[in-house]
Amino acid sequence: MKDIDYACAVARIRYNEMSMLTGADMEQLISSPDYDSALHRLSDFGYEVASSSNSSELLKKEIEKAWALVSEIAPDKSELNVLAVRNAFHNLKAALKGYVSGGKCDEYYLEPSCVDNEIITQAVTTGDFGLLPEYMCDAARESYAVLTSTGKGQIPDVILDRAALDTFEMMARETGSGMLCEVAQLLIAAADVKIAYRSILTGKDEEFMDRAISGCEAIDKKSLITAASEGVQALVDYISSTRFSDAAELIIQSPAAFEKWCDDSVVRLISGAKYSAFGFEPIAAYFLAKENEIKTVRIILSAKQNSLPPEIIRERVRLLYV
Amino acid sequence: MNEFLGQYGGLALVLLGAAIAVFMSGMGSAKGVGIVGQAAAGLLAEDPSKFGKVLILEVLPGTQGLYGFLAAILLLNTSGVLGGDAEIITIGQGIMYFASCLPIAIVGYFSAIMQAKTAASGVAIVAKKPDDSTKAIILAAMVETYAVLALLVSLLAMISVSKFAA
Repeated sequence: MKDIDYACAVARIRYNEMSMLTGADMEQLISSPDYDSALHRLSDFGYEVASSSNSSELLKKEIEKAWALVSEIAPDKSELNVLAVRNAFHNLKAALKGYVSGGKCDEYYLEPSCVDNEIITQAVTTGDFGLLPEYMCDAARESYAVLTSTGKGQIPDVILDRAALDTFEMMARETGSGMLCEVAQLLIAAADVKIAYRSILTGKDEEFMDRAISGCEAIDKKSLITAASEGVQALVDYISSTRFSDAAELIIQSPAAFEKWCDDSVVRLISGAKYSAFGFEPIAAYFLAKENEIKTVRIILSAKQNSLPPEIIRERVRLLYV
Repeated sequence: MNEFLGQYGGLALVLLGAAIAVFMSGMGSAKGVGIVGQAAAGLLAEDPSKFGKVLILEVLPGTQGLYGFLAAILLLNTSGVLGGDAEIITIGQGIMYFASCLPIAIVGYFSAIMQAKTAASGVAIVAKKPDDSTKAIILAAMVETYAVLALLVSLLAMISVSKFAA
């Protein structure tokens, strides 16, 4: 589609951006004396806080509202798959584990997903992975085979996580959005670095890392595995030599700090879309920013539930889009 | 054939010039108003109270079409087509009349689309900062300058050609 065909959708996005939470709003939430006060504040900010609802229901409703908006306004609905494909892989992972453990998996499904959850459940229970979209089939079959033969979930997790990010990148390229391609590259790089670091801590071998690490333009897969095999310092040195050098120390300092860096970096990458009047990018950026906002609210609410001091909460609060 | 061209060639070129001036600038304006209209409709779907502010932005790319129309009327008048004595237009005069239409035809088309893009971007200002909507209008109106200059050149050229012909 031509960028100009998005003029109407982008205007609606701009209007809806005004109801997104700002840094000042987050500060008010953090300053709330307790969880209930924070919920009350959220209600003032436009969140649909029902008296009986818990925070996860409330936040789920918010993401559903954001998805409903982008689904309604996007001129080409197929482009939205890129925003929901990671949840589809998550749901596949939940379905596989639920099937093997004999438990219910519905409650672990995430929305929005670009693949119907019933199809995922049916594919897993019948073993007919042809029901799934082509980009999920191979990863689903491989994970299913490993999970049913070994009963261990780590390798299937690795296979599906990698496939999710690779598919996200492929779909980002298909949209022609440079912004989404960069986000995909960042997410792959961050996932690869986390895998490499955890592999060092848990003593995983190069074969495991080779299976789990995707590699991207910024992070060379072979170099990363070699560095991880040599130890933490070699890993830090290697990351310092890439364009993600500012994250090198964070990975060993604290996983939470590294996660915050990843989320903040995504927001920095998408912030350019605030100034575009046309194209798919403002829509994608709005949804990613809304996800980031909801994640931040979740962090604040769970900190409030656990009565954490404001200083600790502020360290975890993500960079915001508006 | 030569006799036919000699008799009607100049007139045909004048009519072609008038048609191009109206067609190109009108097409640009139609496209432009359509682009801003889409953006405006998006905003109005969320907040209908902004109608007055976005209406000004939507109207702006429509002016090029009017300029094209104005140029065509002046051309038909100065060349004598409207007065009924068009058969005296030579091919040479016809070419000159035709050339005089090109500035508003070409600049009108492109400036209308560019102005529409600027105005559609300005819709975001109206959405987020309604008090600053005048700035969005000024930014879009800046593009108008070049359409006005093109119209002036076209009109001056037509007047000069008519004097030259006389």
